[in-house]
Amino acid sequence: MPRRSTRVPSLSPKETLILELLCAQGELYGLQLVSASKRRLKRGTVYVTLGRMEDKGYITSRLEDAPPEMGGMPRRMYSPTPLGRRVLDAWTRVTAHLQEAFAR
Amino acid sequence: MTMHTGRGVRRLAARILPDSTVQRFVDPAIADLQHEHASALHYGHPWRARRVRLFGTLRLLQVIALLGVLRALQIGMGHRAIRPALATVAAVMAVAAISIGLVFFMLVQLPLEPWRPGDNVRLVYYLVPSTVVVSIPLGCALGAIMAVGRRVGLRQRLTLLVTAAALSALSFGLFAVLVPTANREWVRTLVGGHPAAPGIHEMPFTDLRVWLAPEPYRLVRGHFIIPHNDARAVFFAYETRFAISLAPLVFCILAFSLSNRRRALRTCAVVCVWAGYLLWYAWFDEAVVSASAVPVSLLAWMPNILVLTSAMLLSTTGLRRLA
Repeated sequence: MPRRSTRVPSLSPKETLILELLCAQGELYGLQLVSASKRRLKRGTVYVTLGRMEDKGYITSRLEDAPPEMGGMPRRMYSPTPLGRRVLDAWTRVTAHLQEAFAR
Repeated sequence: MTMHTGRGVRRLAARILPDSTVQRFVDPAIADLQHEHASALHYGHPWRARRVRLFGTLRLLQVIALLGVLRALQIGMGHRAIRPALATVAAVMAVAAISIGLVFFMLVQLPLEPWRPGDNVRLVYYLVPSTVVVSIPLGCALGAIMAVGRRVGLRQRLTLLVTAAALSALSFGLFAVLVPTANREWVRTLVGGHPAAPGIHEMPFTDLRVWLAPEPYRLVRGHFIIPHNDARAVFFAYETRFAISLAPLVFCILAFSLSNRRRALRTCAVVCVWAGYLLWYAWFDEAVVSASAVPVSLLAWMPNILVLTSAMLLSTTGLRRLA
């Protein structure tokens, strides 16, 4: 019988923001995430955060060829995985529960 | 044009980073930059396109530098010689700091005011930043000696240099704020908790700079400070803080230059040089600096200059021997 991982998934504020944006808007690339986050994500660090989230299995990516009239390298599009959606859902509920408990 | 945007940076990244890292972190950033650049040109905004290219390239360089440093540290940490070296740095620093603290504590004169409960603990607590600053160069050099041998490659040396530079920055931070503050509290504890006018060693950099300014008197932290009777002593204290902050890096370079020698000899040499440093800065107190005719900057930087010159000579001799 395979051992189940006992590690509780966690989300940093930036990871939460990225997952929220991806869940709301579907597939996005790095710069779209930066502009959609209203400067809360930085261009210099967003790709490293996205790479880390991909390692954790929260998001997945695929290469998309650039439009022929624009040219350039293929762009990497990011989308949430079912695990990412579940973690975000659970995280949001836990946060709301904590806020409610401590607001009393 | 868009096709070429970021290509030079990608070549640079490919030299420093592994292919997988370039494909995962650098390529998406370049693709987005190219797309943004092409969009600006497509919609007739050439100046916006230039701006996008300039700032995008700078951000790419920032990402590559960050990933490069992380990789250098990762490779260095993976080397079997580096972990014991870093453990040695920490252990030597701790032992040296505690020893210096104990010696200083035993030599200190009794307070003028009645001893209050907890004053012993307070004095030890305020002594910690100074002893840590003094012990950092020795820890750095002995750690480097533990790690550096003939078989240690450039990347491992780079890891040690980055660590030494970080320790230098830490020393500077301690010297700039924490050490003077702790010294001030130390003096205050000695005089029974009464506020005391700060001396040279109790002033942060900003206050020392105020003291060096040619004005009749200054108000520093609520105290009127009359001009110091000897600007040379103040200037020496000011320069010394920079010089000692750089000592970890200097000691690390010295350890590199000794890498061809036997370990016992290297350790002995580094301990002697460190003791020389301590004696030098202990000997040149305010009175000696005032009496001396040698330029103050030279006095403050002399140990670093001597050690770096020796390291250079030793490296040259070592290279000749290897040749």
